[in-house]
Amino acid sequence: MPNAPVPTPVSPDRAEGGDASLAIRAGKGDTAAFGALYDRHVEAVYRYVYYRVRNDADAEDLTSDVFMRALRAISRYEPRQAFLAWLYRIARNAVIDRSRRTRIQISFEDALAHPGVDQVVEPDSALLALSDKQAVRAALARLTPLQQEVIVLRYVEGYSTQEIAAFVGKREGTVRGIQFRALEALRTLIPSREALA
Amino acid sequence: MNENGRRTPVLERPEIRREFRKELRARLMSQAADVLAPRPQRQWLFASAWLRPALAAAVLAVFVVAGATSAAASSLPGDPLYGMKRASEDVQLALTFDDVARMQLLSDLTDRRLAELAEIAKERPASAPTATAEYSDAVDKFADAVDKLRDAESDGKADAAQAVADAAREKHKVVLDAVKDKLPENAQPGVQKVIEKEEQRTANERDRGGGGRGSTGGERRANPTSRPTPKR
Repeated sequence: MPNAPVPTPVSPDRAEGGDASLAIRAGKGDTAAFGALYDRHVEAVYRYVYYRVRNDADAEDLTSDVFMRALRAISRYEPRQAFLAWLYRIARNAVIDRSRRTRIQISFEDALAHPGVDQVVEPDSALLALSDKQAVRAALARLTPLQQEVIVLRYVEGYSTQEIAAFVGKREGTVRGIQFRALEALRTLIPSREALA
Repeated sequence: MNENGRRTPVLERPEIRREFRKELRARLMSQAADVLAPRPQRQWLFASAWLRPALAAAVLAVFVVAGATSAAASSLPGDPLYGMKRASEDVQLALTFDDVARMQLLSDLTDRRLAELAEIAKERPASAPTATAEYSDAVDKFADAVDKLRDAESDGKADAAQAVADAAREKHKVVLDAVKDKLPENAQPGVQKVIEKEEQRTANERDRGGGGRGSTGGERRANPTSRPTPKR
């Protein structure tokens, strides 16, 4: 089990140049501010949707969709919510809407086999001890969408449970529970139990 | 931990194509100029927001003067006064500005359409296809309103939408199952279609993974049989 991370408070960050500040400016018509938000978060959004749809083309379509929606909605953004949480909510809804349209089941099944991956994986978690990545992929595909989402935010984006709680709109304790159950499920589903010990 | 105070990524991080990133940025920036620009028609919208109640009130007044509203209220699809009843409902909708209240009203109207369908099934089966179409249309409008609220930034609104949708769906399923067999054959496909659409919506909501909407707080456990993984 990985060590608990140091909690990092989620803040709307209203300081000049912060996300919320940029979003407010964008909502008032400052296109450069919207561009700055795009530059900051496009990669995170892409990774998030990629793990939900499993291929480059769909991930790019969804990334476009997310930022187009954000552009249309930015004037209604309220800074009491962290901008990134707001953006992840748009991304989540975009993924859901797409799955409604295409009825493609969202899975991690092939997501971890992304061909362009070159950044990986510092050995700071027991998950990394897994030698059989195929087994990990198969196991991850069996998690619920919310469990998958928590695992992405935790183990791909490196967010704390407190931050994830803000993103998914649940209490921190609930997120810990979801993460715990996801890891429990992985322990059950992955042949080598020692891997997650 | 990295420089942002975050954990170092444990799983692989797919990279975005540089060309795509650049193209999307250019597209967004070109659209941002239009989308984010202050809109002159907002004034017109503001004015129309004042006009709409006045127009609606005028229409209502006509109904009252004609003394037709009460007679129309009990009309059924196919009746001459039914159009007036629907127009009156449209006015009521136009006067409902709050999203949650509007969604609740649409839920009530959906209930009304279902009651009409049940009545038609008993009294006048020949009008069943019309009543079914009216009901189907009401369900779609209600579902759209729920979806809109579900996407709302306010958790309270989204939860309210989900609660009303859940209650309506449960109630309607029972009534529809009872009514369906009483309808003539030419109306049954329409009702079946509505039932299937509702089942699909329920499945879609389940797929949302209980993202805070109407969830009982219990996260679904991994279920190897419930999530087929289609191959591309």
